[in-house]
This record gives sequence, structure tokens and C-alpha cells, in this order.
Amino acid sequence: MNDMQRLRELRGEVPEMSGAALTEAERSFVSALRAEGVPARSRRPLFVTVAGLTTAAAAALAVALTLPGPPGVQTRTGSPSTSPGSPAPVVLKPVSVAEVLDLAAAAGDGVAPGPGQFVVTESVVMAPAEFGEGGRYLYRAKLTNWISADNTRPGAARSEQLVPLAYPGLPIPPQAPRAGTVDLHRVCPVKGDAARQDYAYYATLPADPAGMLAYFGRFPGGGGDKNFSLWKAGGELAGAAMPAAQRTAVFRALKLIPGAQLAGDAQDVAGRSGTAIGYVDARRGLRHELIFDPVTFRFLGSRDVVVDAAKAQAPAGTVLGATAQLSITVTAEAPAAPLGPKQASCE
Amino acid sequence: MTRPTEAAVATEPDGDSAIIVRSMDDPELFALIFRRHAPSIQRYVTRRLGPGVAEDVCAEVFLVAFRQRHRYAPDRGDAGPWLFGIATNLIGRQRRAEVRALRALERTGIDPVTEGFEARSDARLGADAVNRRLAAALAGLRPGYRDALLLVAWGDLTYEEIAVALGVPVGTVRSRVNRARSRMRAALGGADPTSIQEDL
Repeated sequence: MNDMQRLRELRGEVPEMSGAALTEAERSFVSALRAEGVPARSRRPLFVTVAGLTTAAAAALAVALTLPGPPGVQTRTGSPSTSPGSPAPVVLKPVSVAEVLDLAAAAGDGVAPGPGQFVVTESVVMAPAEFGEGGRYLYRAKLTNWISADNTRPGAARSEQLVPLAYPGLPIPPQAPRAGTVDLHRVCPVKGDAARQDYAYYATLPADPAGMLAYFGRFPGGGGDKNFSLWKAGGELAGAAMPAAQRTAVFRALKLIPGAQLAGDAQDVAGRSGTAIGYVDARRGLRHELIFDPVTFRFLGSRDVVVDAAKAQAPAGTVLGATAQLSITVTAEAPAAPLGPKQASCE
Repeated sequence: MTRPTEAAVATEPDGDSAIIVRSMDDPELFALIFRRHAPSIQRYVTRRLGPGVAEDVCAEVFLVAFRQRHRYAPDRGDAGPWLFGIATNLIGRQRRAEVRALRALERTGIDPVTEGFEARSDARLGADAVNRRLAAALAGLRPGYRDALLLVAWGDLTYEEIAVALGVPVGTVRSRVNRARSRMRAALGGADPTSIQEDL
């Protein structure tokens, strides 16, 4: 071992800042940035936008526009409100898809269920549904699933209908399920690895991005744009409970899919603000977006936004499908639930 | 075959310089520069000055960088060397405290900088004696030599990057590192560390 190697080891136990400490340091730094004040050039365009008014009126309007809020504070639509005196939460503005996915890959720890326990996920979903010609509407429900963490015990699935929404230009069909309707049925352990969606199975998936991407490729669907199918598969896994190594690999694998776009600010179906990245499904005229918390970059959910009105048969910008992940927790028992109408038994 | 490969990444993040340019109009974008580089800068400053002051010094590095961002050459790409250069200047203000801690390590074998951190499980037998000698040699180096040497050893910078960081020619970096390393080798070679004069 030479002198340089020994020197590299000296004080080598000092760790790099990460996790909560890094988030906290960022928070302080952004507060300090805001205290620096916004440079004059950021305010100037206000005068440009009011050109055409008399000079005095323009000046008065500009003053009115610049007055609200403490100097230097830039607010973003939908960002969490702040009380006076407390520093605003750090809202980073990523500049690329890769940046968002890097931040997501580094975001917090998930659950770690033990053998025999259940992972409980609560989510809200919205999707187009149809009762014959012209009977299209947007179905909405709150779902709670108890899934055996190691696929050994029967779990349960509960759905509660929420008020349905109209598909653009169509009335809500009378057959649409009424809000408040609840269904609870048993979920049997899955036979065969291909259909497994439990924590213990996900723990066996590759922890490297390329291997995880190959797993995306085994999802059903496709036929059209292969990259879109991969993107959609990755989006489904983004919300699944799995060990940190696999979850990180999911986001790093998504990074390998070319053609994704930064969609910017987005609201999920639960009304939460986030940062979205998406991939356009050219066949259906929709962009399938993945939404992340703008502060922690935890995965919030997904949504399908119309980008081609003709293909989607809805105005551009309409949200036609969405999921919002409300919580993921661990419990020892699942509620006793009856078998569904088409279920035989779990044996 | 449309399956992407590792080589087909089409979504690489913008380089530091693009973000710095955009932060002229959108100052809070500069937080991304912090997120990217604060972990390595903070570790470097901590290794040199200890955790007590590192947090403040690290924050100041990024505030100074923010204030000077209009002078950042857009063709530079990675902002790391620039930030390490600012860190080096700020560390220079605490030179006496840095040397005092190194001297304490040399004398007692206890490093005030790393006291609060968990020792590495792979720490080598006999590392204590080596560290005391290294500390003595580091404390005896001229500041410019210590800066260059530690930017290599702890900052993982190349000579070219150090030249950018310190604003000196690459040849100067090379000769400083070489001379500093010969001091290290002498210290490790059995010479009495206390005999090293502060003339380098």
C-alpha cells in the first residue's frame, strides 16, 4: 500500500451526506437562496406584459403584482402552503426525466413485511368503463388490498365506488355503479410465479436496471410500441411494495427507456400536486404519466392525459385514467372476506 | 428491435452548466446543483475541518457559488471542480483550526475530526501509527500543497480539475502534489514525524 492509498483511508469513515440530512440541508439552502432575493431581471417581464396600458397604470399594476409574498419567494401552483415565518418546503424543479427518476430511486424506504404478514395498499383509481354504444363513463373507486407478503395466506380486496364522472361529451349511463357501493372478497395465493405480485416474489427480481428492464418486458400487452409497454409495466411496479434494492432498480430501469418526457406540474387523482414524467402512447393518443411528490419524490400515482384529441376522442388535456397511491402499510391479519362470485376456493 | 439497452439512454439529465445558466432566470433551480454536489463537498470539508464547522462551510460554498454563477463558463460542464475550488478558499480561512486538529491527532492518536463517526470495520491494524505520521506530515505542508494533495486524495479530482479548482496551471498542481507526496512517503518511511520542518 502506498502513501496515497494510506492518505485516502485517513478520515475515510466520514460518510457522504444522504437521506434526511441531505433533505434538511437542502431545505436550509433553499431558504438561504430565497433570502438572497430575486434578481431584478426576474421582475422586469411584468412591465412587458402590461404594455399598452398608460405608463402610470402599468407601473401601478406592476407594483400590485410584485407586492404579495415576501421578497424572493417564488410560489408554484399547488405547492404546499406555508405559514409566515416558517421556511417553505423545498420544491425542486427537475430538468429532465432522468433527474426525476434519480430522485425517485433515492426517495425514502418502503415497508418491510415479515413472513405471514400482509401488505395493505390503499389507492384511488379512475378508468374509462363502458355499457354498450355511447355508454362510456369514468369509473372511480377507492381500493384497499391485503396481499400476503409471501403468497402463503388468503388476503382480501375491498372496493368502494366513488361518484362516477362523465366521459367528455357523453352522459353518465344509468347503469354506472352508485357511489358508496362496497365489494369485499377474498384474494387467494397465486399459483405460478408469472402472476405473483407479492413482496417476497418481488424480492427475487433483479436488482440491476438491465435485469429489471428485462422483467418489464415479460409483462403482457404490447404489440404496438414496445417502449410504451415497458414504460407502463415499470409504472405498475413503481407503486408496488418491494425491497429498496428492487424499487431502486425499477426507477433506474425506467431511465433506460428512451422517449419519455418531462411533463412538469401535475395533480394526481387524489388532488395532490406532483411532478410528472410521461410516455406517449401514440396509438391511443394518451400520455401515460408517473407522478412524484415534488419534495420527497416518492411515487404518488399515474394518470393518462389526452395529447391527441382525435385518437382519444376527448379534448387534449383531459385525464382519462389515473391511480393515486394513498398508503402502504403492513398488518398481521387480513379481514375475513367471502369468496367472490366466480371464485371456487383458495385450495 | 426496439428494446433499449444501457447504451440507449435518451434521458440523461442536463449538465450542471445548463442548470446554472437556467438558474439565472429561475434561481431555485440552483438547488439541483446543491443536491448533486453537496454530498461530496460536505464530506470533503468534514474530513478537513470536522463536522462542527463543515455544515456551515458547505452551505457557504453553495451560496458563494450561487452569487458567482453568472461568472461560470457554460462550456465547463461538471461544476465539481469549481465548487471544490470555492470550498478550498473557505477552508483556507480555518487553516489554524485544521492544523490544530492534525497536530492533536499526531500527538494523541485521537482524531478530533472523526471522533463522532463510527470507525470503519475494515480499519487496518497499525493504522493509528500511520495516521499519526500522516497527520504530522499534512500539518507541516504549505497550505497550497496540502490543498492540491487532498483534492487528489479526498476530493478524487484529476490534476486538470485541480488546476481549475485552484486557478493555477496543471504543471504547478503536478509539482505540488509530487512534492507533497514525497513528504508523505518520508513520513511513512520511518522518519520521526516531529522532525518534519514546516518549510515545504
